Amino acid sequence: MIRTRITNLFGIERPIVQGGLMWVATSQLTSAVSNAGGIGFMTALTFPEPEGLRAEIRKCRELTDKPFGINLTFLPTLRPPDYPGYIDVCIQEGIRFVETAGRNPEPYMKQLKSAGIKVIHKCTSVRHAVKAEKIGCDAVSIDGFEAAGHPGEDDVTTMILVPLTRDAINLPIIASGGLGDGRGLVGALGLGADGINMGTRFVATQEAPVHANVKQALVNHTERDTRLIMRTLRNTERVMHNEVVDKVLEIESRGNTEIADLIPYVAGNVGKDMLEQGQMDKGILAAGQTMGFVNDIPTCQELLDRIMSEAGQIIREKFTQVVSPNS
Amino acid sequence: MKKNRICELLGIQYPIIQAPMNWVSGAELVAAVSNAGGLGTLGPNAGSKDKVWDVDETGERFRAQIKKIKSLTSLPFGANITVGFGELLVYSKKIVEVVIEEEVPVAVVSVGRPDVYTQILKDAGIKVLHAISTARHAEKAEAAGVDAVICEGFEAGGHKGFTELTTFVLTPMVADAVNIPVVTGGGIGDARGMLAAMVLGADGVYMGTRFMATEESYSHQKVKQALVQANDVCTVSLSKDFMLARDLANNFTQKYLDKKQSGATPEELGLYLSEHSQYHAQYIGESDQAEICCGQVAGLINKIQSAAEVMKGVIDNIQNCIEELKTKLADFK
Repeated sequence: MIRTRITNLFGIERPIVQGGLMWVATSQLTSAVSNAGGIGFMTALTFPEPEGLRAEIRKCRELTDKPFGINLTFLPTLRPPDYPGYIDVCIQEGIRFVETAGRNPEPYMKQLKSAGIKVIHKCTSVRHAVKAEKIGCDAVSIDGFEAAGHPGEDDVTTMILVPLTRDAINLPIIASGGLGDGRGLVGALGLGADGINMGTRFVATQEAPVHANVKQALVNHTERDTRLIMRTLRNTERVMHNEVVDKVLEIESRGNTEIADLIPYVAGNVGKDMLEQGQMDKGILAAGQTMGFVNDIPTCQELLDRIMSEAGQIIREKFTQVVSPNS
Repeated sequence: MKKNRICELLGIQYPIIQAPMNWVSGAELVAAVSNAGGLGTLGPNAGSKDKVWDVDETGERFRAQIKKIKSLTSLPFGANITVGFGELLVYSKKIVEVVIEEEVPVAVVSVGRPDVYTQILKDAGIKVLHAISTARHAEKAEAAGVDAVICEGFEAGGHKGFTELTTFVLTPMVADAVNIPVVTGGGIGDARGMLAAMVLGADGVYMGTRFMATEESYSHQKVKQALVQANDVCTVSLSKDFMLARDLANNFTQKYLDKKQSGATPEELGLYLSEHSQYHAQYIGESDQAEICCGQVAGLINKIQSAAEVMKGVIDNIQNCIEELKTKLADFK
């Protein structure tokens, strides 16, 4: 095991986090990550109603007695989901850790904190991390430019974000973006992080509840096969390259793009169908540059064992070998 | 203890290479880095007081800088060869001639194919480091016989390919792809960055922007100050004809983006670039109205130091970083 402020915060053995993954982070994957010594977060909005989340939390409890958490993503929608309802379920079910993403969680901090829930906020910039500390979050998870999904509009990479955030705040930091093996883990810790988050890497595991074609596509594609879509809407998303992505980029290149033009391609249900049915040319799949390291589909236990073993080897052998000057 | 491959290859004490910078890395900076145990590298146009188009004159100015470096250090140093394409090849051909005649120990080759000059440089006994931005190009460079590859992540300053791979992704991919030593650049400004790069699989690090903000660099004082003031979102990646360029965000970059947005032709953009070039920023000091190539790492720079102080800071702190990490990982099993 590794002791860091992140393992201490969660009471886990390995500083590896599986943060929210829409439709993917259900009890099956999350319990597997927690059982392997890391911590998983189930994405609340995967369940259209709070009661669905309650059932999934109970299911997860049957699958693991280790700590796990819930991801709450605040979306800029006209009809917001029943966030207080989801939070009530978390409190009633004894959830101790909530990962917030999207908008600033401030409106919900009182409800969460008064129940003793630790809040980890996902940020994409130093100023967001500073804000998260100010409003009472317990840790931040920070996404570099190389990350899958929505890495923000600033394009600052993990290499820069982690040390700058470390210098700016005192909270524990979970690094995210471009991390998929033991080198990434130790590298991120070296920059000042206390743990790492992986997304793309966890989708290509045995336990991820997605079609086998999705996992195989992550194995087959390389680090060069991601694209950024919806940049023109300032809602940038890093996704796996396919024909649908080319179509979206073509529409965006015409200028004056509106979300309505892209809805047929980027709507949530299109992506959900692809994850379930495995038709890889039918929708959009969030994927990071980390695809370059995804060469197999292990169990979560195998994956975390391997990452820790690689990390151990670096620490034992490489530090003295490569970093010490040639004097 | 196994010796570091980059230190062995280049005959230096610490695996820190000062990346060549157009107009910026001249004799004093190069010698100071080499004297501090790293490898200084002469950049194009460094030491010039005006733009020059004559090929021979370009070569002679470069030669004068090399001679000056030799007068300031007896230790190994490098010189940059930007290969270029088409008609620009006449310049790099001249620079290669000068580098060979002056017996420069190390060539840092960038912006071009590895099969153009590698053999002729190696035949002259010069070590060849070739800059790439994908694992595939690293393999090609290895096949062309280079001694080491330099991989530059998306966060790096200056010109590079369109793939946008970051240091965290590119470094392990390149380290896995080739057997020759790997030097990593992009985002490295302190000991933490160096430690991370080495952990990711690099044998050495390549630092440009951090050395731009040193006392010895030929960078204009206004530019150095702008780097010190820069924050985490201080740069922008501009898409040019054949490559990307990461620049400090200023009026120049905003106008360039506006022109592009409003449909300026490649000729118009080219003219704008040449009238607001690095010469105007780095030599004249028009730090807000001209191009300053620099990396995202500018956000980590808080003061202007001597090159030796920068080197010492990184080297002294890296042991602390390792100790801290070891404490963090004390219970590792």
